[in-house]
Amino acid sequence: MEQSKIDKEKDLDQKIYSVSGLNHYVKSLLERENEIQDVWVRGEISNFKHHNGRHMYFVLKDDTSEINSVMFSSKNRDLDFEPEEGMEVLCRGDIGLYIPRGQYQLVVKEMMVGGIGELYLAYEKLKEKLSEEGLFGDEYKKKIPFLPQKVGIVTSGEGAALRDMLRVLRERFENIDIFLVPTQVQGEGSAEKIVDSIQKLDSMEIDVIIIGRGGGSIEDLWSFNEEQVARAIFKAETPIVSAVGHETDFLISDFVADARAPTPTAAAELVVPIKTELKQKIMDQERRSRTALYNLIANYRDKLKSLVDSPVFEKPERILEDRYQKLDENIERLGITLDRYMEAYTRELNGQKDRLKALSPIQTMKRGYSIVMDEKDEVITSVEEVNIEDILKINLTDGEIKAKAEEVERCQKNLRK
Amino acid sequence: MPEEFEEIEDVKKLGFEEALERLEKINKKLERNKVPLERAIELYQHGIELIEYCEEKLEEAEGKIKKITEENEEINWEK
Repeated sequence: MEQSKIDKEKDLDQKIYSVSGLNHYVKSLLERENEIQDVWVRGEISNFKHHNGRHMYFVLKDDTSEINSVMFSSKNRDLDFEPEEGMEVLCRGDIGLYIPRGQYQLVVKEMMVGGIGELYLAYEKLKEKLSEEGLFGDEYKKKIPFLPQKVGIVTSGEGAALRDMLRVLRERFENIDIFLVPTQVQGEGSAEKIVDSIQKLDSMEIDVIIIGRGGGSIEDLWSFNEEQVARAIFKAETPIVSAVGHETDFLISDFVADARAPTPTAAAELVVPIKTELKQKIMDQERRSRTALYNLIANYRDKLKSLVDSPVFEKPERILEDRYQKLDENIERLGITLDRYMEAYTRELNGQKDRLKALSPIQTMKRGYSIVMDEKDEVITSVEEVNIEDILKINLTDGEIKAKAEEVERCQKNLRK
Repeated sequence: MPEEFEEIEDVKKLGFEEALERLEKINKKLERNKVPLERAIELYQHGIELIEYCEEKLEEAEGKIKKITEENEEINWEK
């Protein structure tokens, strides 16, 4: 008794969900689980309902189990078949929960009829594998020659595809050479036959190969989705155009080939240019060349004429006149330059003269100093150089006095020191 | 001229498309009207050579249809 009370109290601490709250929570758990999002499920349709062409509700089941499924109108409008009771299908979808009923369900995004679905998956798988290997890389794409002379064709020996291709090739370029390898393109062993035919043509000197066939069911076109065909296309040294089925059919051969054409007819158009257009183009170029050359010559003729008509030829002395004028102009300019130089020199010279004047002893003598020299005109700078009775010459600014030394006395203070 | 055009010795080494492109280049150059006369005539002559070559190329294929059978023999076959 005691024990269960404790349990109850413990329980009361825990969160209590409402029903819808719980359903919301479980829904979020399911949606978070990557393993069950975007899954492929195979099963048989039962209990199929499609009211007013809107959402589709059904059950997917196998021998022992079933799952509620829905495909909303936004997705089911792209279906190319009408699902029906008992149909074996392959569905891609997300696992979710329908909250009002607490029911888990598959929300279908894509649906295919059983066998076709398997083929589709195989196609996707191979496409991814070859793509990762780089077989679709642009760097491996060979250029389709602009003007092939030999076109190889791998297709069924009879049928509209071949007829259409031959007709179009002929219409566009009547003298093209065509090498046809009639090949079984559908059914058991057709992939090997296509590979053989590609190799055969590749070993011949052929400019471009078209492989293809007319429209058909996905099973009919299937050999062009086979790995060995893809590898043979990739290995071939001759450029290959893949043209399988209709515009909406994309086969592995389309991705690995050097070019894809939406239909065999389009392949023929892609491979061979229209001869008459090319001829026209060449003729246009020829006309252009001729016109251009004529214009050029006419142009030179005009130039020559305008030269002959020019004043130079009429009055050749004009040339000399011009030259003289130019010479005169230069001489004048030279003169102006020289004058400027002379002015500058004169100014400089006068400046120097003034500075020199300031240094001359004459200025000092004007203030009362004089220069004493002996008879030999040597300047006397000390009493030691003079004896009594010596004749001295005293120079003043305006003349010279001759004097006789009567007495020589040494200064107490030596001024020189 | 920024891109000087050079004639090549043997036009037969060119593809059809290339030859046509060269022809166009020559024409553009001639149309610009700045080519010395002697050079213009040289270019024109080269152009004629290219035209003849292109025309030849168009007629080169024989227009045969050959069916290559399992036994690797070629059968001429006209539809």
